[in-house]
Amino acid sequence: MKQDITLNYTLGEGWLAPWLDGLREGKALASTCKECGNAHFPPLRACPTCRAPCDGWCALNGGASVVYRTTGADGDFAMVRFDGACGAAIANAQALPPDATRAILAPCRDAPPKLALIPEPET
Amino acid sequence: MILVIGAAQTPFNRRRDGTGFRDWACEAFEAARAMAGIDRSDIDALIVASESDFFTLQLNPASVLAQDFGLNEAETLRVEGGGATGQLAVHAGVERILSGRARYVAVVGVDPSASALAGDSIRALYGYSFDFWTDGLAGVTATSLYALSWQAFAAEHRGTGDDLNAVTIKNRGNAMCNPHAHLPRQHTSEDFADSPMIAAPYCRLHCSPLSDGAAALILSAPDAAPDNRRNFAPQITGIGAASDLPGLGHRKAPGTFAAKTKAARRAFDMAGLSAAQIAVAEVYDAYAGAEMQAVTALGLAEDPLRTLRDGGFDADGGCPINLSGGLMGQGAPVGATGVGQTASCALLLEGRYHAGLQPDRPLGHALADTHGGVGTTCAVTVLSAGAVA
Repeated sequence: MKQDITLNYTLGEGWLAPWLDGLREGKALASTCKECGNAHFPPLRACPTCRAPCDGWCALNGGASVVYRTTGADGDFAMVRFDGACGAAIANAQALPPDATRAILAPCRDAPPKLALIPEPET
Repeated sequence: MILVIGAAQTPFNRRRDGTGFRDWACEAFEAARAMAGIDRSDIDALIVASESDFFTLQLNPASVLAQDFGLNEAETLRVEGGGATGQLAVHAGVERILSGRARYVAVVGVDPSASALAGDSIRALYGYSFDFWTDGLAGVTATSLYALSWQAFAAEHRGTGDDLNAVTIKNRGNAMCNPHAHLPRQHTSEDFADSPMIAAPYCRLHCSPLSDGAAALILSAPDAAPDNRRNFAPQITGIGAASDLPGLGHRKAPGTFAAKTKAARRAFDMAGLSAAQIAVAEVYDAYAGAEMQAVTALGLAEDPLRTLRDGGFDADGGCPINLSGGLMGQGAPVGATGVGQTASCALLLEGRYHAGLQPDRPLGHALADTHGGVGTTCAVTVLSAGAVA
C-alpha cells in the first residue's frame, strides 16, 4: 500500500528570530548570559554554566576556527569555535578548502537559513 | 526489583513479505506472553516504544496495539526519546509496578525503520533528531555528528581506524550466531578499504543498518509472578536516565558521553552494584566508535580501547559486549532496540539465549544501554540473575 503526504510547516521563530535574521545576513549573533556574561553561539536560552536565562544578544566578528571536520557522502561539516563565543557550533563546510583552519559565517537567504562557512578573506 | 517473566523479539531486518509493524508487534507480544504464562486479562498496562509517527503513520500507536493485543481495558502509554525510546519504555514499565499501579506490564517496542520510507527520507527525518534550530540548520546528518564526536574521543583516547574496524568485526561476527540478526557478517580488515566513506572516519561498514522489527517484555511484581517463573526470572534491579546538551559544541567534551555516566551511576546505585560486577552488556553501537565511547562512559573497563584490542569484549572475553550483534549486527528498529537489548540481557541471565552466544559460565549481572541524539538522552538498565539462576 502506498501513501503520500506533503507537509508544509510554518514555524514560529520566537526568541531565535534575531539569530536566524543574523544567519540570513551573515552576522553571528550570540545569546548572552544574564549572570556570567558568557556568549553562546549557537544561542542557548539558559546558560549551561550558571543556569541563568540568556536573554541578551551580542554580535560576534563572524570569524571561526575549525576544531574537527568530517567529509564524505553525507556532506562536509565542521565543528567550529566562533571568536568570542563559549563552546562550538556545527556548520556546513562545503565551501572551505580541505586544509582550512579559519572561516567566516556565510550569509544565507535560504529558507530556513543554513549555518554555513566560507573562507576567511586574506588580510 | 522487578521480574522479567517474558522476553521475545522478532527478527530485525528489512521486511519484504508484506507484513507491517502491527504484525511484528503482535508476534513479539504473544511470544513474550507465552513465555510469561499469563492471560491477556492479567496485564494492567501496555507501554509502547515507538520513535516516530513518520515511520508508522500512526499517532497514538499504543491504543491501536492494545486493541490488537486484546488489552482493551489496560492503561496505555507511548514513550519516545529518540534512540533511547525502548529503554525509556522499559523504565516506564518498571515505574508502573514500583508505584503499585500495576502488577503486570507489557512493554512492546516496534518501528518500521527500514521498509516504510526510502533511505533518503529516513536520513532527512533523523536530521530532526538533533536541535533543528541550531545543528539542524547546518544540514548535518547523524553520521556526520557521530563522526565529529568520535574524532574528539579519539584525540583524547588515541582511538584509531583499526579500533572502528575491530568493533564492526566483533559485532557482526557475533550476529552470525543470532538468527534474528539483520547483518550477520564475517568481515575482514580488507573489507573496510572498499567501503564508501559516509562521514570520515566512518565508512558504510562502521554504521548500523535501518531495520524493521519488534521486541516485547512482560514485567511482573515479584509477588505476582507465576510459580514457574518466580524463582527463575531475571530481575531488573536498577534503572537510570540522564540528559546532556543536544549541541555537541556546547558540551565541555564533545567526545564524552557524560550523561551516560550519570545514567549508569543512577542505575548502579539503585541496584547496589558497580560497573565491575557487570558480566555482559548490550551497548548502543549506532556507529562503531559510539560503542567505545559508551563503554568508556559506562565504566565497563579501565582502559576500553586496550581491552577491545586484547579481546576482552569478544564473545569469549571477560565482559562480552553486544553478543546479539548490537545495532550494527542485529539491527536497529529504533523503538524495538532498547526493548530488544533488555530482552537479550534477560535471556542471557536465564541461560536461554541463542546457542553459540550463551556463555558457558553463570552470569550474575547484565547491563542494557541506549541513547538518543549523540549521547544526549541516555537510559541504562541493570539486570540481575533470578533467585535460582
